[in-house]
Amino acid sequence: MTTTTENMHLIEIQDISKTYKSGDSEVHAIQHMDFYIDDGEFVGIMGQSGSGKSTLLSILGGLNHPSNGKILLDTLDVYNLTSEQRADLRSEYIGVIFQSFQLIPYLTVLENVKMPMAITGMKAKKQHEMAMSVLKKVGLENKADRLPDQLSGGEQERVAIARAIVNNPPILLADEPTGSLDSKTADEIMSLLKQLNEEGQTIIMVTHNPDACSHASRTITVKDGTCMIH
Amino acid sequence: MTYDLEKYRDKREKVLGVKKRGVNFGTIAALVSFVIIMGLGVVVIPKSVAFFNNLHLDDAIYKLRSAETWPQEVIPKVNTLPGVKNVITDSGGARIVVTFDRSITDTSKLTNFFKHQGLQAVMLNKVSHSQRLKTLKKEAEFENL
Repeated sequence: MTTTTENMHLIEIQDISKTYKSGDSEVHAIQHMDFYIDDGEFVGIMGQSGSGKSTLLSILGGLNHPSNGKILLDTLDVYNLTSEQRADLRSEYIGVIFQSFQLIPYLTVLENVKMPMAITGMKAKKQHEMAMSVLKKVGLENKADRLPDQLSGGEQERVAIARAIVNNPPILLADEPTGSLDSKTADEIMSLLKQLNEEGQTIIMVTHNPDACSHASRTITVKDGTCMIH
Repeated sequence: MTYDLEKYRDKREKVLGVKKRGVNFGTIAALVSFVIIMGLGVVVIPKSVAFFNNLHLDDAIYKLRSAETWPQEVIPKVNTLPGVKNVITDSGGARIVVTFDRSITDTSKLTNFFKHQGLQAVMLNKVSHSQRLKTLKKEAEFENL
């Protein structure tokens, strides 16, 4: 049986604000943001440095408790869950691609990709199969035994993408995925993300690069902690 | 755009703990405890039962002063004496080992019985039945080396 509803979305951001204490003063990193993201969307979040876009991404990723408001992810109130449930939510729903890849230098490509599956209790053989499957998807099945520093920047980014999608999360959060790549490699990575999106992956990408955002189906511009939706 | 609530039901249930993943710690702990207890039971209980069954039994070893073999018709008679549990012949029939319940009979009664049968029996040794079984086991192990 399929249950569908018109007024619900994969992610609903409801009037969230985030305020930091900095000495005696308060920093209003995010103020009254209100928007939604549907299943299968490719959303670009643009904004200048310090605009609050990375704070927004960490809140979306369940890593940064907002001061006000709430986030519903597949109807789950993310910050009303216990910390254990929220950890499970991150494992089940969210894959993250970091700007600086964050690969573990002394593990091989294959071992890096297997890492998110280590806490799922999946059998080793199944882990191997799934890791090799996503490495094939990103075109690195022949470099599974290499160490990260034996790869180019673009290849390291592909490993980071493989690691982010290996648990089959519905949502992929990408923080400046092309920030440290040359334009040709950046285009290749954006094509890969676009391909993943066409296969049904919901992607939320933070960037300050308008070219990268041109691949997104929708752009949210963050300015001084507030957002404009295009 | 419509949202399909069923699409990620499995993930949602895992997060909310409706669907448990794997085997929980309590089940594993109970299983391990059960295996340990059963394992100990299998090892300890039969030994304990055998120990208590043999606790009141002694073995007396006899030979004939003439060093002849024991007459075969005597063995069933010894077996019928009160308190005697078993009689076996040893050393090619030159010795007999009488296992008896020391709470019912004793070696003096056995000696009297042999005299009454006209046999000059000499008791070579008297040990607890358990001790003799252990000795026999060790001897068997030694011979297999």
